[in-house]
Amino acid sequence: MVGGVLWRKIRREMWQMRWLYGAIATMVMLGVMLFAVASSLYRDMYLSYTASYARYRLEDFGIQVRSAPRTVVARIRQLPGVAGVEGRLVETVAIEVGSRNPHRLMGRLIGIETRHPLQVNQLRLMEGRFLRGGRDRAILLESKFASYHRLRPHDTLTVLWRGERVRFTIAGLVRSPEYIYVVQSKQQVLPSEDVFGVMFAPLEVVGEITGQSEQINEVRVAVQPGFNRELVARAVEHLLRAYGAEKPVMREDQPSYYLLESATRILRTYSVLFPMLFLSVSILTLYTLQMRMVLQQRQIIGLLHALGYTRLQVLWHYLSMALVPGLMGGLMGVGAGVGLSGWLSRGYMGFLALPVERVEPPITPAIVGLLLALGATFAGGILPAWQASCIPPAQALRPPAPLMGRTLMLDRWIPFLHRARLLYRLPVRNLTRAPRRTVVGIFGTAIGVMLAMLARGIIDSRETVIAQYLNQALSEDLRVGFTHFQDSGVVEQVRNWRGVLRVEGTLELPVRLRRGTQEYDALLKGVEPDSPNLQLHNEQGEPVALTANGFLCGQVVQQKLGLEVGDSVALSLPAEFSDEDTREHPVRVTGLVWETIGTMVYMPRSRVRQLFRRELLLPPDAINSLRVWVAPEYRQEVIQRLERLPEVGAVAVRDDLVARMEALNAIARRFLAFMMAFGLVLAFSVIVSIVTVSVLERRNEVATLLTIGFSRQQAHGLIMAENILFLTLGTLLGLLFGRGMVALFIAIVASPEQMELIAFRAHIYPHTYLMAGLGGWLIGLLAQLPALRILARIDLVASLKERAL
Amino acid sequence: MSQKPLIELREVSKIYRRDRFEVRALNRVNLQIARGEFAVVLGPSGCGKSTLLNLIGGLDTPTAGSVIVDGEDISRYNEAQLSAYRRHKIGFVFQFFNLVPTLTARENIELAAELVANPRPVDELLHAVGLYERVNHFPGELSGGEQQRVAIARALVTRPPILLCDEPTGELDSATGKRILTLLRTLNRHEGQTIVLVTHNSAIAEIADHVIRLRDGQVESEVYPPQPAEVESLEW
Repeated sequence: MVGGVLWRKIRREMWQMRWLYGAIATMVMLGVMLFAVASSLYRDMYLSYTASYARYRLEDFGIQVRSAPRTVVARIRQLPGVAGVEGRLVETVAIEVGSRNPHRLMGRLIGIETRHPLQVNQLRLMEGRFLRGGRDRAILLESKFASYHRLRPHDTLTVLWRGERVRFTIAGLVRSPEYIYVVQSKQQVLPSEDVFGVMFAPLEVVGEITGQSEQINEVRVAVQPGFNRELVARAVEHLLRAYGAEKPVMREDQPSYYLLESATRILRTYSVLFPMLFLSVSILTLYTLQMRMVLQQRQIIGLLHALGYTRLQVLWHYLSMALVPGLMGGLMGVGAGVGLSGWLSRGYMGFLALPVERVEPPITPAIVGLLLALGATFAGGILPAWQASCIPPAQALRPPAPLMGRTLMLDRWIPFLHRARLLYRLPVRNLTRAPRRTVVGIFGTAIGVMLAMLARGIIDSRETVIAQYLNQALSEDLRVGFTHFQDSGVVEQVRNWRGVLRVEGTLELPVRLRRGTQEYDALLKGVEPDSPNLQLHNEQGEPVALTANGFLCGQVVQQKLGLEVGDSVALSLPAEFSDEDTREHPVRVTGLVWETIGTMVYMPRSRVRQLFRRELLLPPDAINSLRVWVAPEYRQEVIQRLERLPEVGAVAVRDDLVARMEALNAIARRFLAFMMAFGLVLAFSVIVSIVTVSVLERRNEVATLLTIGFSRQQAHGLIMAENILFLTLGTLLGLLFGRGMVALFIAIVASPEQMELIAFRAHIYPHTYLMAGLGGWLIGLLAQLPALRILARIDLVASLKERAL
Repeated sequence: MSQKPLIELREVSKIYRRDRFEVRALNRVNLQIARGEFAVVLGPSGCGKSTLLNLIGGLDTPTAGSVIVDGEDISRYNEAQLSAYRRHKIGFVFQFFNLVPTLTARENIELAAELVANPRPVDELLHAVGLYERVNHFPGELSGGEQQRVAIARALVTRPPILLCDEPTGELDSATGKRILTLLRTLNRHEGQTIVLVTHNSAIAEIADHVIRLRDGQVESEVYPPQPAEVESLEW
């Protein structure tokens, strides 16, 4: 379509402006690379976990019961639509890890059937052997927990059950589709293999230890394809009703499944949002560059028409100039993306320890990435190319009519501007002389500043959430969880220990809240209402008081149930918590609090006990958790004493949690820092290209000014003043865009559907505004220098012959 | 003029409009140019010379009237037909040469040669315009006269029957200008090339077969000098 000579023209012109085209190719490369990496990571993750669920038969639903005979499983198996069912005995226990200095952690001991292969939630053996069954005092340990605590097959592990110590030998290490994210509940946002472990033992052994021989307390069911899961679940629930059945928990609400889905959705958002940003910027920059090219090459365009080139040929010629950096950037991006994606996917799969890992060559992301690159550059280049093809040849060959000059409204509005010397008025007036150039300059700068701000703003927002969580919700040094309820005597006991500064007991229960037909599971925290450490605030940051006659609820619960102050809800316990039938207790909302992480509801501890004392047979002034503040030098000693208390499940140390959060946050921070670096490169490229183009466009004007007697400094000053004006406007707009973009990003990532547990809000530190704004502005100033140097060496005669733009 | 004219303008008007303003560049122009003629269009700045050339060259279309070239009314042509017309029938030479600065002398000529099936050999043309030694130089490395010779070679490479020259010596000193005019006259005499040259320089009219004077968008006079002068005798 375009002959070899025109290709040579393209090649040479691009080489002349290699820095600008290089910057565009780099932006395209980054966009495509990010797309290829993130989308193949998303795809590999999706393929791996769906394959894991299918291969190891993840349940379709589970139902907890108070207690049911083991034989009920056979009856469930007979129900229509049931493809597989497992009856299990699940208990929360404490685990002692380490031989020299045993450390106490929380554990979930799951009694599983060993007389036949598991039909649901099968385990993948990574090391060691499966359970032999019968009275075999061996366990299968979840592999991430084992790896974290350096436990291997043949090691022993002590489980504490109501004060009894039971030693188990580790038979093997397993991965489970049910525990890809090892969390205790949906309310727990972070995987916690350091403080929580899952182990599987023969059903008979767990029954014997817990005094529930031949009993189960939950069933997990897989449904045959083609059957309605809800109907099957209802039938199973009906059958189990006599045994105190809870409502079925569908697969979507299973904690690991839910959190993995959330993580995958976030990844999918990343895989679209960031590449789109980069590609949008390359579109804008390319558009600016090509528009300028077309304006400058009007005569050449006229000549091409005069020589007989068709409009389509002219269009293709200028479009090709845009597509070349797209193709180059796309190919480089695909290369880098393909190289990185396999490595990253394997790393991430390894981190998640999925039962099935699928890493496929990123062929589709590569092809789509390349098409996106070409699409973006097509979008950036088509309008200028179209304009080139549409310029009437006769018009292209004669000088363009001068742009319409006009007196600005500003001239009339701002008195000092009206009286100012023309030299000072010109830069302001020039902003409206070429509105397109001004708008592109302002928006280009704004996008640059916005990009520099985006990643930093997300980091700020993350850090704010974490700091709020640590300072408000987790202000105590140590948190002790008991496996069974205690009376408040333990509080008094601990209070008298050396080094203990303060102790508070809390009563924490998982509850179900119902309002009409709407239900939501939350954690009820019974706290001391007059505690100075109870930092409960509303969304505006004002303190909210806890009253005796109702409860306070967090924003997630409020949104889920549509609650307002004064509304009444029914509160009930899960069946497995009570030996009696659970009852619903009407309670009233007395206040709304803003929770950083977690879905909590708060009540005075005494009121919680009063509500549930019969169902749970609670001791007087019952507690099941301690908050302890301790002098640093006594911390270790207090931890050891706490671990020796009867029925202590685990002692969580705030500093360890902070370190773990820091470690997890570091991964995200590294990613965001990487994005910020990209953002800064982009910001630099955008501002440099726009300012350079803007300065170079003025060659003719500068030459004219010099000819009529301006000094070089005056002429350059005029151009600089104009650039400073649009840089300033662009920077201010960029700060607004940046704020909006961070909020938009967080709204997408942290929408209730994506991550209902974290109250993630845009919070940008002032120094981020300052850094991004000042940085963008200074980059803009510096970006003028190369172009101004070119102007300083301007060939007056040649430049005067150029068309003024 | 007994034979059928190669170029004929019938009642041609061209009006430019911008906002509220209207400029009548050509007003009911009637004109005939014969095949093989060396026609010079004379007139002061703004009289419509370039507009006339653009209409003949198919770069622009008239507001009214017909432009007939080789028996075809090109004012009725669509965009594609005009492209083909310019490609095969017209060679342009401009005042400012209009060479592509990023292409060498040879490549600038090839740029036009690539458009037609049977172009003139580029080397032969370069020899003819006396630029063979400078074939690989970029426009920035050539003098004004050399650049214009490249432009003429480029205009001729597609073997167009009509060469339209818009102030071809306007940017050149008189000696170089004369060399360019000699080249054009030679092409006209030895190869029968029809040339329409517009200029405000009345001295150039002395070498023409047909002198058309324009004023205010209208043909003021037409003269067919019986004995056109030689280029060497021109003075300006």
